[in-house]
Amino acid sequence: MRRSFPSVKTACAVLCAGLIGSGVAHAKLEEMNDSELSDVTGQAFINLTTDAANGLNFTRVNFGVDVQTQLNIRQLRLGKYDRSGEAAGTADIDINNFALGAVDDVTGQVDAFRIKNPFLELAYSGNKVVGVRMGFGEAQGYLSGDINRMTGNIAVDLYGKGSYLATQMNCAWYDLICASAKGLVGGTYANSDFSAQAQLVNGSGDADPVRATMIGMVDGQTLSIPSGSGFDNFLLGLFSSSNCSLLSTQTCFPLANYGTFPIGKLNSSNQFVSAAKGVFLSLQTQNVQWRDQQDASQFISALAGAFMNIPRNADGSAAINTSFQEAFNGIPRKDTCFGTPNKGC
Amino acid sequence: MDDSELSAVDGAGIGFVLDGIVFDATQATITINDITNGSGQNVPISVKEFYMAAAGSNKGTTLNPTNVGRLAYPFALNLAKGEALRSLREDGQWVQTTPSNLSVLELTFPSLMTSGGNACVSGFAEAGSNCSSRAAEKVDLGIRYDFQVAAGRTDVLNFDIGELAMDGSYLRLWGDSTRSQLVGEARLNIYAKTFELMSCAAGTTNCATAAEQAARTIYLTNSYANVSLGYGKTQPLLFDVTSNGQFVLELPNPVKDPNNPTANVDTRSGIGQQRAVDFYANAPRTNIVIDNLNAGGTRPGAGQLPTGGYNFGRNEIRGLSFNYLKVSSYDL
Repeated sequence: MRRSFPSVKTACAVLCAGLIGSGVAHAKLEEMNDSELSDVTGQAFINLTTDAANGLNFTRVNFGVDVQTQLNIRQLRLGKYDRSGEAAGTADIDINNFALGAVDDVTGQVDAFRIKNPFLELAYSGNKVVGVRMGFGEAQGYLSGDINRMTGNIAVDLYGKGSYLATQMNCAWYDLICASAKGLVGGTYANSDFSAQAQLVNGSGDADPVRATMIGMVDGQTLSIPSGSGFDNFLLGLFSSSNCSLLSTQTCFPLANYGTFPIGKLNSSNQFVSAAKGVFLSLQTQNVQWRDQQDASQFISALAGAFMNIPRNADGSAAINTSFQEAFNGIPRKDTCFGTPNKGC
Repeated sequence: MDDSELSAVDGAGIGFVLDGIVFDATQATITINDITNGSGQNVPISVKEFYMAAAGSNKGTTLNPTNVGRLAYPFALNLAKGEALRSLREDGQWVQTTPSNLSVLELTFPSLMTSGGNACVSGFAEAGSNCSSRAAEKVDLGIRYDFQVAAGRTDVLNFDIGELAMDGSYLRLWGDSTRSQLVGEARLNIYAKTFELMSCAAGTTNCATAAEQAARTIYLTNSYANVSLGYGKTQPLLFDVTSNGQFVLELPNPVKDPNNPTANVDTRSGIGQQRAVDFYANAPRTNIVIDNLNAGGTRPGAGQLPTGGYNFGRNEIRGLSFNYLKVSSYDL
């Protein structure tokens, strides 16, 4: 197809208007001499650091950028290969309709996902690359998706009032211990804030960091009342989760129930008040001990394959906080698409 | 062409092909300085073994000339009205993505085709059969970087790409009078049969034999990427540099009125909904697909899947689009 040139004057008028038509005052441009030019080093937003630990060398490219985004990915699938002990055709990380951030259809505004201090790091064994990770110094916002499989370290805190928790305890008529506990939780501790730590598990309550489909309390995990007395927590410590059940309460939940996870801390008004630190996504050919971004004396053990790390913060709180009610009922997905669809756009 | 023939040409832009090209800088070294480490010390980066030649070079061993682009499907530099330009949608329809009634400066690679095209990645139908570049017009490309990251430690990244085509890539620029700045949209298509990354310098310690080199190589087989930035009609790519030398890259919210970007826009009906529907229907998306990713295996023959090593299998990001993106740099 042959196109015709428009008038050069018209082209220049439009282009030049764009280039110099700003309402801002423009200073006269002056050329720099060679000595001035030689002083210019324009690389300040990127640097390169090294590390060595546990027999491996690391090289990290740090990017001095702040990122705000609201994005949608129809299919995110990493590491789809046959893996021992895992179902055929599955992948290490498999999420449909993945999204970061959220939108408001009424106002047309985006609630952006924020990333600070991203980096790219290579792990070397001698001169062999054995791992690569993309990390985020800080990450804050909503992460949504239809999660089919997840491999990694996903730290979750469950929280909620005893009054709600008691409603989920389905004690058998002959289980007097359960009935007594239910009475305490729904009575004496009705207004207490209960908490439990959760992670990727299988349907039996065993930790399952590879291609997991559930999240919940691992066997032996107990409930606690963070603001409670030592006696309160002693009592709770007598009861631990076993086989995805604690005092007849379900403690493991399908990942598919969770349409959206908040990454970072929300206040009571559902406003983010702090970012999650230490989030990364990695691929490695062997188990690699990556330096913990929050505590340089610690390491995160990433299993071979694709691995997502959404760890606990340095203060022990989880990157993902969700209520017992949300755990039981699922978390509705945030709207991530303008107009009619709320996902898959 | 003689003068009379030249005078008959009416602003069709400039098309060009790379005829009989071979680029051999394998004996040259370029050093990049002033990337620093955490202590502010220089980390020199040496760029070596750069080549571009006909496909089948065996990772740069045999450099033969090739043609990139041809007269019917050349690289092109155009100045055209926005309504005259088209982008190929994933469903094979040509759509207008640039605004009407303004002039756009466009640099394009050989175009994609809707019929009669060639395999973008040989033997991998999923990458499409709509590339204008024929097998003989694909190139092998290689480059090696040596990072002197610390005293006595140099990290090597040696890239070799086999059967590379970039058909359908383009960069479009125009002046946005509302925003008073230069804006644009870009699409970067990369199709490659093989992509190999070796982390050592051939001939050095632990990197002499074929087995040693294979163990230090990451293999991508049957890969393509369509990286899309900007949808000129409602989400042009904005690039700005602040007075203190930092850059800001932005893909603005496509439902907002650029004349009043802070005003609310209801996307459930009216103009807001129209903008959303148009954006999701026509804005190009980003896809990155690696049909097979392997580390440390051995490729039995050119273009074949490696055996052994750690097989990461298939990896893909499909249908990525931004409702909003803002990247702001700062000094580390």
